[in-house]
Amino acid sequence: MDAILTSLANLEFYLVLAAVLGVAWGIVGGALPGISPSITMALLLPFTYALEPSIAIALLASTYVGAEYGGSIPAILIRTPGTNAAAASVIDGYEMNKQGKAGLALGISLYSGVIGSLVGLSALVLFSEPLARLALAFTPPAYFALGILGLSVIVSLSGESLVKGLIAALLGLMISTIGTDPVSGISRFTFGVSDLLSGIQPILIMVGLFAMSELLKQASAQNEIRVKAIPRIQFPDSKLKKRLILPQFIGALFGGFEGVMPGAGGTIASFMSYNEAKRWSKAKHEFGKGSPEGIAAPETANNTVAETSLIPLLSFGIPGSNSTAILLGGFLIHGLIPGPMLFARSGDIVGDLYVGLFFAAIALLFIGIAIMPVCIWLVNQPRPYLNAFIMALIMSGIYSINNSLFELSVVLVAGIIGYFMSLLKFPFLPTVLGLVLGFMIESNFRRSLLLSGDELSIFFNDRISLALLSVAALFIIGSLARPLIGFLFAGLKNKFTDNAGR
Amino acid sequence: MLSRDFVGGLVAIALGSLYLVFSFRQRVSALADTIGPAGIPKVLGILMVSLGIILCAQAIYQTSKSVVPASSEWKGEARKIFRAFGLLIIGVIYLFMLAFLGYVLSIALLLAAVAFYLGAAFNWRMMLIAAAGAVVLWTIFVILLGVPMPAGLFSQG
Repeated sequence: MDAILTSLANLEFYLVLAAVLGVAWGIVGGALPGISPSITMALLLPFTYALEPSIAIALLASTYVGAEYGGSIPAILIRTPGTNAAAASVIDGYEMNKQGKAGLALGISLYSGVIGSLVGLSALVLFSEPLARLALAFTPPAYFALGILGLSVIVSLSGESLVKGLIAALLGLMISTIGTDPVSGISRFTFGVSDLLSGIQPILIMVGLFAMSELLKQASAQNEIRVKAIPRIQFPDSKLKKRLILPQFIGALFGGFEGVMPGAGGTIASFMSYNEAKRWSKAKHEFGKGSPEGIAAPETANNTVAETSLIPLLSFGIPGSNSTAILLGGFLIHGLIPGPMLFARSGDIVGDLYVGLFFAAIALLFIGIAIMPVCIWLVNQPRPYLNAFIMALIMSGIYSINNSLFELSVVLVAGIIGYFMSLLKFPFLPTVLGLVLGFMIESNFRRSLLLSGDELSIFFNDRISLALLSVAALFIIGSLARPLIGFLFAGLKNKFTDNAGR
Repeated sequence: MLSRDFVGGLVAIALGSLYLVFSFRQRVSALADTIGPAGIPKVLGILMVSLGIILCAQAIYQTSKSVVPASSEWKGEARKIFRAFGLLIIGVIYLFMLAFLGYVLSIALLLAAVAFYLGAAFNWRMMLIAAAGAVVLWTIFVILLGVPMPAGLFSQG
């Protein structure tokens, strides 16, 4: 709280500007189908290198906030969600558009997005620091256990195949071993290339995997969808606002919970809150036919997630989603390591981030209205030009970090890897997690063994380490058991239905 | 025909094996800890190969059960891969051009080449957009952010 007051007392114009520009960029990126919030953030990442750390972090986080709303614009207007999380808004948003209520649908989305952002921000401020304070007592075994807890998320991030998720994570862990060995100082897998001695920066892999691979994928895509009219945003009246309170509460609840749960993300939160909003609604029959509640719940949820997903990142340094992984990249390129020490050493940056996010939530309301024609103009632009500009942005932005052609080639290689991972249906996030957690896990594992004289019991004698490893084990067991329980329940249900049928 | 999972498994086995070979060749210092710089990489390599084998086995089992032939998974993919490869070549050419032609000219050519490759018509409009785009990017990076981009042909030295 002190950090927020200090930040407010020394409020910088550039911080507010970063929040506003971040939201604007996020809305534009989110509105472009195929450009996810993480890609929007990845494109911005190289630009942030030249900025002050607090401005850079606020800019990236505000972009995430803006992108979550931006995704609902094409979802409502052309039945094409700009982001995955906006997919739930298509159902009733597009129906309202067909009924000539596109402006109201967009207004509900924007209004709910602002509420979601503010609720999420409150949760972020309340929980991040206490959790980080807990982590201050961490020793090398505890850091190792924290890394393992971070990796355990892969079980729920792997999508259809756990084996593929694990292979993707191993790839990230392998990349993290390139460079100088953290304990002995000997070079590994550098093949005499001096540029590899300091390892491969996660930002290069992230931009390659998320942004470059998407461009390569779109090289053969042909989707020219046009928005014919520019609707005027119309906010709900007081009667409708009252009706939206319950779905917004449900959205904030699911958004808050799913945001903190690593790997869950905005998409699950949106669909779950949509489902629950329908269950609790007095006008269930309207769902799927243009219900305002059907937009309010998912839009509140995905904007809440944009804030609460920062809790595990700020407190423990563990990114639980693609977007927070990119934000982690933003911290790393400024020499900041999210986690317990961030609050102790760079509390001002955390304070600025909170204040920046507050301004971002407020700016969302105004920018959301003002930028609508720009978004529609951009959505209507021929895809070849848009993609050409995105490629030029990537190439310019990456070069601007260290003026290195080698780093540009790393991004291209990461793009190829990402393209083939996508083709073979491997998830990206485990690779990013492996990459960012690999160094922490290996160095602390080996340091712990050095301290204990090669006794593995050090990981169980340290209380925090034991607790974190237990949580990781529970998380893995829980994630593996969930589909099994679902399968068993489905079997029982079928049996029951069969018996009832007879 | 091989399914995507089977190919993924084969790639994992190949990658893991290659990584293992280099892990075993890793130089180890006399002052290193018990695990040493090659310890963790060896574990990672073995795990990668093992998971690759599991993925291949899963793929074979699923293909044998499936009524849809695995070849249907790859329909139209060859053309997409070639298209992506073409875009990648443009990126590589840009890397080689940057130091020689300088940032403004290279980025203008990149914009034009990518737009043309992705289907934009080659006309004055495209040239104008590429030139304007290059100027905008140059203004952002060189003037506003102060990044020293290569001057190439325009360098005074």
